[in-house]
Amino acid sequence: MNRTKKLILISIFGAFASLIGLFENAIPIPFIAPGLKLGLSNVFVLVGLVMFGLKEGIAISLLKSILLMLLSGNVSSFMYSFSGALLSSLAMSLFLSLSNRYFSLIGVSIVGSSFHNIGQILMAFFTLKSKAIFSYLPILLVIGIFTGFFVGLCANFVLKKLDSNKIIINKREWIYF
Amino acid sequence: MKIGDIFIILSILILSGFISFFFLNKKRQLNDDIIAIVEINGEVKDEVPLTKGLDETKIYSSEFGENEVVFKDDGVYIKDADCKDKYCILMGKIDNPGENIVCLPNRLIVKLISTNPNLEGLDAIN
Repeated sequence: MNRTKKLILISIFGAFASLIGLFENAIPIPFIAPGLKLGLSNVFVLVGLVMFGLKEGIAISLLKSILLMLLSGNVSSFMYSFSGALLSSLAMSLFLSLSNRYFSLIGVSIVGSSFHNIGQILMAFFTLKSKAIFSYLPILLVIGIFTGFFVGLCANFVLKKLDSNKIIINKREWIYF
Repeated sequence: MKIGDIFIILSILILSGFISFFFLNKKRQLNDDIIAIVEINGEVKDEVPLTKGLDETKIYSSEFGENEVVFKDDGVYIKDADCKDKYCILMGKIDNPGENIVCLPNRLIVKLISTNPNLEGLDAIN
């Protein structure tokens, strides 16, 4: 894949991720823990990780966080968004480097969503300096299993479409149905 | 779904079970004395015992923002805040020891603790 094509794909994924994130911000879910989101923008981070690698995945999540901060005007959310996205990208690329005999994209995505929550809670712990914030972690982790499952399915579907349109060249083995 | 995915799901469930064990939410006992603690940026700003007939509204302002907290004998909630997301208002009323309300932009946290010596496990959150 030549550099220009790669650059364009990364930019498109970043733009898609921030657009979906913006739509998600507009849908309030006052359910158990306020501020809960499906995290559909992580679909594109995961797709970027599978297609290119760790550096490009982090580039997409950084692009997404910066664009979302500018579009929604919520500056304080940038720290939480990016700390979660960075940790989840690292964890997902670690699992993607393992064999795909035992893990599917769903499992990788569940790991990613868990580490996204852990990163955000750690960031909140460092700003609030109160251990009480960790009491939100169990419920976030359990809900993260469901959202991660859905994100994994979506990423698989997107990768399958990209593969059938001959856009993906390497790392084909992670697509499984 | 492959075998590793199920393993991941199970280990996350076990992990969250372990964490929630440390932050166990006990139901409020009749003779419990509950204290609401307000912290801003990690410092304890106020302690309000939830005694019978209490109905008080206090405004906490700091360099990060302003929150209007209502203390009643059956619970605590945030009525108004100048932050952008208003999640602290959406969190509603808390009434059991171990629960808390967090306002991340204003770095404010309101938590309930029990002074009942029988509930020693709850000291873990202090």
